[in-house]
Amino acid sequence: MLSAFVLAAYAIIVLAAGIRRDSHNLILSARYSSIAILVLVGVAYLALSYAFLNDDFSVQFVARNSSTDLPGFYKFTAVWGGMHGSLLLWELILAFFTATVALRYRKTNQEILPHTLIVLNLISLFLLFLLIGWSNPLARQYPVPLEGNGLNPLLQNPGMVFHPPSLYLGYVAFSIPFAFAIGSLMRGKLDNRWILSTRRWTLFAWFFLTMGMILGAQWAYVELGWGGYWAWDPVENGSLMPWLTGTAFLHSVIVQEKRNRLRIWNMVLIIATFTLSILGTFITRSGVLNSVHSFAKSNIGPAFLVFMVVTLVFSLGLLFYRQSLLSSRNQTTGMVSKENAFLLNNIVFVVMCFTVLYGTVFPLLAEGLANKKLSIQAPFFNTIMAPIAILMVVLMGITHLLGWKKTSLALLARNSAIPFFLAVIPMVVVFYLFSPPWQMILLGGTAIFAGCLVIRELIRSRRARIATDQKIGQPIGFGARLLNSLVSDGRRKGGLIIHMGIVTMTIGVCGAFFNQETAFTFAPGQSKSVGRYELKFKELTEFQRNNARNMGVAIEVIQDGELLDILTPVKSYYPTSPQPMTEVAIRHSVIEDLYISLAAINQDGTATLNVYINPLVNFIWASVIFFIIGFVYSMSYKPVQLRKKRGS
Amino acid sequence: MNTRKLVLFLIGISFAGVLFGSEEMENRVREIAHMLRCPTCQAMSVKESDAGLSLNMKQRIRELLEEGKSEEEILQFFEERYGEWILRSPKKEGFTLLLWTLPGLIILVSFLILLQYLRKRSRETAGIDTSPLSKSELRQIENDLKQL
Amino acid sequence: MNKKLYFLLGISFTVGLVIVLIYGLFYASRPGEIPSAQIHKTAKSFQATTFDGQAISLKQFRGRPVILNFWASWCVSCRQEAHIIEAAWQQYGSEGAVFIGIAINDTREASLGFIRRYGKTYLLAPDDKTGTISLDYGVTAVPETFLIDKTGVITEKVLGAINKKTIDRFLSGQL
Repeated sequence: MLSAFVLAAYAIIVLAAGIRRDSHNLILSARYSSIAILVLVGVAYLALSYAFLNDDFSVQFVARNSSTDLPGFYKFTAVWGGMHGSLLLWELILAFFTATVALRYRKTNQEILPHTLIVLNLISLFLLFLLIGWSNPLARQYPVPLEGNGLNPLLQNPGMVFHPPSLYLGYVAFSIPFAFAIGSLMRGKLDNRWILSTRRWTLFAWFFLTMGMILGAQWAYVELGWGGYWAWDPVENGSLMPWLTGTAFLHSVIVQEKRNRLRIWNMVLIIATFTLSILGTFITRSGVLNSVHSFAKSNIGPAFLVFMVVTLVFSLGLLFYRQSLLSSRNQTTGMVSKENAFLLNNIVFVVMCFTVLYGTVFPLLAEGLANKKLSIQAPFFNTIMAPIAILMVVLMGITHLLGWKKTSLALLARNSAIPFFLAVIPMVVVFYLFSPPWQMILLGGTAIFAGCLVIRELIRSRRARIATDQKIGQPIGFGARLLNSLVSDGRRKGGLIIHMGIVTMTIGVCGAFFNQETAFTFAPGQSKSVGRYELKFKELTEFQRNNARNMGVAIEVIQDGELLDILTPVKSYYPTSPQPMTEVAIRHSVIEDLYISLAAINQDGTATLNVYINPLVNFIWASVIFFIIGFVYSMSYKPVQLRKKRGS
Repeated sequence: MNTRKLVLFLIGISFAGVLFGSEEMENRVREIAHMLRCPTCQAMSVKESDAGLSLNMKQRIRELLEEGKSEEEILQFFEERYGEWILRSPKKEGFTLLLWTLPGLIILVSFLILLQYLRKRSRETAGIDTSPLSKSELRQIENDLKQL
Repeated sequence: MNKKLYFLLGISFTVGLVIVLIYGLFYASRPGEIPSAQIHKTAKSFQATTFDGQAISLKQFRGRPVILNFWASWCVSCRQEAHIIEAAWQQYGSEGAVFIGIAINDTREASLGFIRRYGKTYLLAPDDKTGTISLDYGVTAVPETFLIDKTGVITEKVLGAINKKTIDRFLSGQL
C-alpha cells in the first residue's frame, strides 16, 4: 500500500507538470499510474480478504473482527466490518473509479481531465495516508492469538453486509462530479460539459446512496428489535445529509443543462455534497456524538476534520475566485414554471439538510454556549421534518405539470383537479375512521396526489410516443409499439418511476402513524390476542444455527381460528459475546407486519414478549423495485449534446 | 451462566409489574417512556430499552400515573433529577427555542428572498413581449416564409 | 441580492460549523458523561434498610459529610473502587465521615457475595425494586458516587470508579 501511496503522489505531480507543460506524455503516464494504483490497492484488499478467509490472526484487524467459527460468507464481508478495512474498501472503489475516469474520458474531456484526476488522486492520497499511518488493516501483531474476537453478531446479517459497500459506492461516485466541477473551475473552462459527462455518475451515486440507506433501515428494523427503521441517529443523519444535497444537485443540474442557469449554485451543491459525505464519516468515526452505531472510538476524527476544512476552503475559495466566469444570463421566465419549481425544490432540500445538520450538531452548541447537556432524538426530528417533507412531496407532484418557461395557473388547476380529489376522498375517510394526526393526513394525501400525477404523466408519455410513431408512419405491430413506448424517453420515465418509488415509500411511512404495540407475559398453552391475531404459546425451543445457540419461543399465529404461521423469536448466544442478541420474528403481509421480540424467558417457564403491529411498512421496501427500474431507465438516457451524430 | 440467569430473573421480576397494569395504563406508560431517554443506553428511549434503569423508570412512571400525576408533572419529575438531558425532545423555551424556530425561520426567509428575486427578474424582463402572436402577425410570418 | 453577501453568509456558516466540530472534538465532555442536575442542591432524603437489618435515612447524618456510592455486584468497575472506598472508610470513619453504598438492580445473594468478597464494612443497603433512590439521584450507570457535604448539599458527582485523591480532597475540606 505504501507503493500505492507513492504512486498517487507521483500521479499528482505528473499531472500538474503535464498541465503546465501541456505535455501529452506526462498525462499519459498519469493515466497508467491510475491503473497501477488500482492494481496495488486491489492486491492489498485481496490480501486482507485472504487473511480473513484463512483465519490469519497474526493480522490484528482480522483477529479483532473474525473468529474461526464465523461462516465463510461473513468472513469475506468482515473486511468492511471495521474501520480500517472499510477505509480500504473506500479507497479500492475510489481507485477503480479514478482509473475508469482516466480511461473513459480521455477523448471527451481533454481539457479538464488532468485537473479532475488531480482532485481524485488527492482524495486517494488522503485515504492512503490514513491507511498507511493511522489505520492500517494489514498491521501484524505478535504473539498470534489462537482465536479471534469474532464479528459483532449484529453485523452477521445479509442486509448489513451490503449496506456499507452500497453507501461507499454512493459516496465515492459523488466524488466524480465533484472532481470534475473542481477540475473545470481550476482550468477555467466553465461550460456545461462536465455536467453532461457526469450525469450518469450522479445518478449512480444517488441510487447507491439511497439503496445503502434503505438497506441500513431494513437492517435496523430486523436486527435492533424495537420495531422501527430510522432513528435520526447522528450516524444515520450523516448519510442523509449528503443524500439531501445530492438529490438537490441531481435536480438542479437539469436546470443548468436545459436553461443554463444556477451555475454557481450547482457548484456550491456538489461541493456541499462531497463535504457532507466526509462529515458523515467524521461523525461516524470520531465519537463526538452519541450514537447507536458507536464503533470503537478512534482518534481518526481530527484527520477527517482537517481534510474537510481543507477541501471546503480550497473549493469555495476557487469558486469565489472564478465566480465571474459563472454568472448566468437572465432569461424570461414566468413565475409559475418548472424552473422555479426546481428552485423551490432545491430550497426545500437544502433546508431539510440544514435542519438535520443543525439538530445533530446542536447538543455541541448547547454545551459550548449555554453549558447545557441536551438530547435531541427522534421526536424532535420527526416533528420538524414532517411539514417540510409534506412540502417536498407536493412539489414533486406538481413540478411534472409545469412547463419550463411558463405555465398558466388555469392549466395547472385543470390538471391537478382530479388527482386532488382522488387524494382528498381517501384522506377524509381515514380521518373519520381513525383520527390520525394532521401530519399523516397531509403526508398521505400529498403522496396520493403526487402518485396520481406521476401515473398520468407516464400514461401520457406512452400515448404520445405511440401517437408519434403512428404519425411517422412506421409500420409496426402492437408488440413493437409497446416495446418502443417502454424503451423510449428514458430520462423522463426514469424520473417518473423513481418519484413513484418515493410515493410508495411515503405511503409506507404513513403507516407508522398507526403502529400498535404491546408487551405481556404468558405461559405455555396460553393465548393472547393482539390486533387481529391471536398468539398462542406453543413451546420453548432451543437450537443451534451457524455459530450461535438460540433459545426461543415458538408462537402460533392464529387469525379467525385459522393457523397462519408459527413465529419463533429467539435470544441468540454467540460464544464471542457475553450478551445475547435478540432476534425478532416477523410475519410479513401487504397490509402490515406482525413483529414479535422476545424480551425474556423467565425462571418459571413463562415468556415475556414485545409485540408490534406495523401497518404498511412493506411499502417502504417495495419502493426499491421502483428505484431500480427508474434507475435503469435514467441511466439509459444520453444527453442530446453527447450523442454521436447519425450520419449527417 | 449464573449471570445470565440472574439477568433473566431480574428482568422477569421487573416485568411482573406489567401483568398488573391495564392495557390503557400500559399504553400511557409507553407513551411517556418514549419521551424519555434511557440513561445508560447509547441513544435509545426508555420505552425501547430493557436495561435495568429503564425498567425502573418505567415502573416509576406507572406509579406516578397511578398517583394521578399528569404527563407534564412526570416529565418534570425526571428532569429535576436528571437534567434536561433526559428529555428526548428539548423543551420549547429558553436557549432551545433557537433550535425549534430556526429551521422555520430559514424557510420563511428563503421563500421571501426567492419571491423578491423572481419579482425583480420579471420586472427586468417586463419589456419583452411574450404574449401570443395575433392573427395578422401570423399571416405576415407565413407570407414571409413562403417567399423564402 | 448581492453575491458577496451570499459568500459571506456561506463562509461564516462554514466557519461556525468547523468551530463547533473542533469544540466537540477537543473541548466538550464525552457524550456519555452526564453531569448531575442536582449539584449544589440539597440531596434528596431517602430511607433504606441495610443488609444487616439496620434502618438508615440520609437525614440522620446531617452535619457530617456523606459519601454516597451506587454499585452492583455485576458491575466491573465497582470491583476496582471497592477497596478504595473501604480503605477510606477505615481511615476517615472515626473522624465522622459517613460512607453509604446502595446496591441497585441486584439480588440479595449476589450483593452479599460481593460484600463478602471485597470486605466492605460501611453502611450498605439495597435499593428497592423500583430503584427509587437511584432515580432520585439521577444515576445513569454504576458506579457513581455523590459527595454530600455537612449541610446536606451535593457538591460533586463522580462518574465511574472513584479514586483516593477525590475522597481525600473532599473530606479534608469537610472534616
